[in-house]
Amino acid sequence: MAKVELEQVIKAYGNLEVIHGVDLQFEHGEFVVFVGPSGCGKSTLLRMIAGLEEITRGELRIDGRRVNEVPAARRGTAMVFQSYALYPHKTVRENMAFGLKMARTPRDEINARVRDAAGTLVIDELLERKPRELSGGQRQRVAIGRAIVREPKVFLLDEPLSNLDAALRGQMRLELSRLHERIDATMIHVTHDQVEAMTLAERIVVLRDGRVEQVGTPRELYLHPANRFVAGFLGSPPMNFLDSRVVTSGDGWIECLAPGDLRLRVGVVRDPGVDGGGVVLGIRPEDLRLGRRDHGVVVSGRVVHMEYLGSVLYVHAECASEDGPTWRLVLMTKPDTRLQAGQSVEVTIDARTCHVFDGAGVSVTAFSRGEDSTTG
Amino acid sequence: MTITAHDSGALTGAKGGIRRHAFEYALLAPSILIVLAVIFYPIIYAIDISVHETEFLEKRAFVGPKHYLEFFGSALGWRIIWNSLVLVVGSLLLTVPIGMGLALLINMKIRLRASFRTILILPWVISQVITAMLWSWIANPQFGPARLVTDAFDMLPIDFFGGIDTAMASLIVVNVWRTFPFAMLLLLAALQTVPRELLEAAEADGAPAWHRFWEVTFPLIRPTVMVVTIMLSLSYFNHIDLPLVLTGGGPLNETMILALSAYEQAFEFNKIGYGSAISIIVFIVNMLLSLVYIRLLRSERHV
Amino acid sequence: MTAGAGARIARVLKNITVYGTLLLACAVSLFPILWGLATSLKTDRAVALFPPQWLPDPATLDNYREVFPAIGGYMLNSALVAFVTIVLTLIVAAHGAYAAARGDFPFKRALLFIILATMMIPGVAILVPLYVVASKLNLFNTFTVLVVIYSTWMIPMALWLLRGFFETIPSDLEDAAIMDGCSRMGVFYRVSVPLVVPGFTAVAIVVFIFVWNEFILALSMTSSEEKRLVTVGIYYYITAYGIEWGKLMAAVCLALVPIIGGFLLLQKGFIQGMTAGSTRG
Repeated sequence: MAKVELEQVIKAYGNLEVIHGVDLQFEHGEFVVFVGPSGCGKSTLLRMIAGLEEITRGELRIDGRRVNEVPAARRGTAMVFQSYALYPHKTVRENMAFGLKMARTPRDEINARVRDAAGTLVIDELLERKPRELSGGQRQRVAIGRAIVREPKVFLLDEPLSNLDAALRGQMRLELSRLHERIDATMIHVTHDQVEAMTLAERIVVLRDGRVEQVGTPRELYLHPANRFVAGFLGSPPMNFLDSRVVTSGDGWIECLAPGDLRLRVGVVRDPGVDGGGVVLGIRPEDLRLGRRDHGVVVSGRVVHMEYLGSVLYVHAECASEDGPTWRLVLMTKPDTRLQAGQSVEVTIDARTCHVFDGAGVSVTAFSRGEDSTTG
Repeated sequence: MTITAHDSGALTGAKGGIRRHAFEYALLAPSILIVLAVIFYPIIYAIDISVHETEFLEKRAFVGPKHYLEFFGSALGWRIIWNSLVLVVGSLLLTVPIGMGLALLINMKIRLRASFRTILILPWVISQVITAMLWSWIANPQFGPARLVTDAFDMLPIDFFGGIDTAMASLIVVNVWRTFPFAMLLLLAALQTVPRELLEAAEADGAPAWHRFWEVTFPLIRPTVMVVTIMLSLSYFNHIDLPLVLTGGGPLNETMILALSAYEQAFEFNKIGYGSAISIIVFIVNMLLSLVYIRLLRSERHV
Repeated sequence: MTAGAGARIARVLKNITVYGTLLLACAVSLFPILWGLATSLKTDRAVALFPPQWLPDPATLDNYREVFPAIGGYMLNSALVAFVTIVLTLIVAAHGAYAAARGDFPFKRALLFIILATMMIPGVAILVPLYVVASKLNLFNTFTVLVVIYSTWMIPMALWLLRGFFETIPSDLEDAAIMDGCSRMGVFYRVSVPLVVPGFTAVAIVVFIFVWNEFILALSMTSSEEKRLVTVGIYYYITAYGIEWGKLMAAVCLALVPIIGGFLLLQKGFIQGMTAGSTRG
């Protein structure tokens, strides 16, 4: 059993604080992914849990026990590094056995555990080789093997897939998921790749500048981003944002004026601010409809660019109001839609699919689809 | 803000109190202590001895700068300084151009390049004592091959290392033989960093070879030339083995240089105080040359 | 056509100059060594011939037979001192180099400067005090004093060189070792040290050449025959019995075997190392 709790965890180098009071709780056996742009502190946070980085203030508990001062090897954690960090002078077997040897595990048991792990990862054939004789994918498996022989309660992965090519990465993603089902450990995975985060995670922690932006299931985060950053970070192509102005507001709704004199009436959980205050409307590309539809307002524009992905087509349209500046919308449509660059199109925006972010970027959207947003 | 986790890990450590870094200090302590004990303490001791009267190994009365004044007040002192200068400058004037010439040749697309290089480096791996032995035998006035040369000119056999007129020149020749490979290797390494396109562009412009060298190659390798010059100067200035075995500083102090004189005064005449004073002069010259060297390395980095 | 022929002649002339110069330089490099080798194989009578006999006739190993017992002993002494010096230098410098490469601590620059600044102090400047101190500590005429001083002279160079090697070790690797349960010392011994073996080899080569070729300290710090290093042993041949050139050259050739042999085998390491260690006067 391994419940991981972080309470007001702070990391500072001298006067420079890089992690600002993080509170997180993970249940036993959860697959958690830390995601965020580079420099957001996700690796630092992981290394603090691992014991490679001192915790400046705050408390880290594993299974209820404070482990701030417990050496890395005795926290019941194991780590897979981005560079794999296999010992070049040791064979695969020695690499996998090293941690157990350091823990004075009896030799028979070491052998048995290495054999099991090697079997699980299908690297039995490689045990006597040195890391330099292995391919990238094989090294990756060995690095995972080295972690699992230690039977950790918490399994830490620091961007383990980023050195692999795309095809291998997809395969390893599946294997990691399967591994998670098989081993009895909480997994914490760090990545900057949102696809990896969405596909692997049971829960995603989005980080920015050393703070937690939002925690939730991939679905929660995608459908109900708590703020503009999360909304823009998850999803590709990213959400369209329209700088708008509140013109009237009522009980649980506001009417906004978006570029191009679009008037949209959207539901809000609270009034985002004073009359005439700026808000940002966000619409996912897949929520925009090509052509004139029921429900929603219509905006006309010109096709400037198309991305054909086989299963879908992304259309970049440039819209202009009579005297205002131009702005762009990206929308997703069926791949067999016939369009040409330069062609005029009409796009329908359905106010029910709009997200609303207040002046500080916090979501005030009231969702009618039943799910509650979880903010972190 | 772009602090990533890798910037400072548990091992690279953050700045903090001295006590937190006991690990690093413990690792570094043996190196520090041993150089303090075996190099720094002796140099201070040497300064101390140099301002005292001495009797065998014992320090006697404090005499201040007496030994220094004695050295700089004597004709022999100035003679020794002059000799050191002649040896250093004379050896440099031959070694650097020869090393440069050979480096240029080896840097060309030639056959057997590696073999040429290997053979040309050989003189440099041989100790000064053995070098001195080999050359004394070559220059042996009775049976040495050098006599073939004097015979060819119908001259009387010459004792090259023992003759007043020839000793210094002969010492310089051997010095050049011993050190040209060092100059050649360092300059060769520098030449290999000169981009071929630059030289090819100059060639396409019709610049003759010597012009290409002075206008393109030399400016680029000048820092290395300076480094080589300083390192060789230090080597020529500090060596004792070669002159001690070849000429012993003779004949009549004709090849006596500072380093050898310091050794001779202390170990052969048992004038430890006086010898120490001379070795401190050697030390000061080393410091000055080293400072020039450090400054060179710094300015090179800024270019 | 004539232009082509002219170019060809120019090329041939250029080749003659280039190869001619190189061959001449090689001849100059090799001549003293080969002349010594030829002499060492001659009989005493043949040594004292003028004009000189270029190839020994008859060739004999008598000189070698005669000098080997003594020179062999000196060579063993040199090898022993070199070996212990290498070990001591590596132990001390590797620890220091690791701190220099991995640590970030107060006064680091100053402490490293102290170590490196010693490269500016030539051996000759401290010969007298070393001699005095060695005498007072009853270390005169021991290998111990030679080993300690040689090691100290080599440590700054070794520290500098090894620091570069340690810096190439990815920090992830050391983090992995910590996760595997190593202490910081454990990381150093079990992971970092095995990875810088090439650096150790480079240092070992430099130190070996230095000790094998060193003369003046070995001369000043020893007095008895059984403590002579090879350079000192050879030096005493001159003064001992007038000069018997055949025997002297045999001794010289024996002393050259490890150096030239090692050089031919490990040329790259030699060049690297000698360039690094060349400033010690």
